[in-house]
Amino acid sequence: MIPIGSHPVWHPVMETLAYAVGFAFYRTLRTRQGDIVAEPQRWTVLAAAAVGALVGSRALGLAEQWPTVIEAWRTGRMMELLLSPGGKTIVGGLLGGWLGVEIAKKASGITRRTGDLFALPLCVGIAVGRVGCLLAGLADDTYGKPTGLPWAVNLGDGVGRHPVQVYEILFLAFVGIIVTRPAHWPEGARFRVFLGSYLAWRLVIDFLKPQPLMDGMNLIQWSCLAGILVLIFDELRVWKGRHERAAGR
Amino acid sequence: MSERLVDRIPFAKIVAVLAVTFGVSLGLCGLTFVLSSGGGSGGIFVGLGLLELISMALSAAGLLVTLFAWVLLTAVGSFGQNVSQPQKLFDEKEETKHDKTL
Repeated sequence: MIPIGSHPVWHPVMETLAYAVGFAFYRTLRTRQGDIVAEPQRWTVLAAAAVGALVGSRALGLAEQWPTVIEAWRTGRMMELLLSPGGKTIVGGLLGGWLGVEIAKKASGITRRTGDLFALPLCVGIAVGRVGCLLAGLADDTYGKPTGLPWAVNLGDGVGRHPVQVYEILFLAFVGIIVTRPAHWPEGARFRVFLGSYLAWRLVIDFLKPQPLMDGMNLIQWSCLAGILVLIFDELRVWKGRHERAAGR
Repeated sequence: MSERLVDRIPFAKIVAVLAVTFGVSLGLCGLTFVLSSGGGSGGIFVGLGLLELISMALSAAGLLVTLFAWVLLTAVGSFGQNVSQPQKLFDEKEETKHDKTL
């Protein structure tokens, strides 16, 4: 068993570092590869992504703690709960950010697919953030189920657990390599590969986390499933449109 | 023709920065520690809690005001234009110019 303990102070440090590193990667990529949209449009996309991610991560985080939300609603402490720290989820942030960007693109007439520049920065940012989750240990709700495997980690309670955060960092390294391959990708494909694979990954890995289940899966897994279905449906819609345009020529 | 006010102010940039600031300050955990320890025992967490409170309040207020002003100025700006055309949040010419350079 690998002793790690629980050090919650590292969570905010690594989370802040994750945002900074992710943004640095995004800027470097944009400088190197150029952008398919102009600077004002890119900022519109970034603003929509940031607001959407904020709302999405908080909404899903709070939905996960629904008994607390109902109690806060009854006692009139809803604002206090909304502004209380913690209770954010990456899946909610990704889905909220994606939805926010799609709405902003529709409203401002952006027709290009703008997510490719975010694929690698998101892989790196989430991986850095997960180091914080691992170090926070039992104080964070992302630890794994007990296991007898030789690489089990002891988060301070003497129980060997799956290092699910390390599994995720390795997975993100793999996805990061895939989405940066220099082959020709259709516009938007790198982001969609990242998003689809991350949602699929969370759908599977969350079975190794001791969280309350609803009909066999936790709320994050149900959200991942919904996100994957929307992604597939949207890809089919785009493919159908392209096919019809080609047939009409 | 002079540039409209909504085009002169970088609303998108301000909103993005404020949203990230609010997101980061929500995750600082200092406030949780101070509250859970009944007022806190000094050190890094009290400072973090204070920083978290100030940045949360400022960024949340700033975000609401900026979003409201952005929507309002965009709506007001669209009154002066042909109402049958969709309102753009950016200069379309710039997109075309940029695309040609790629």
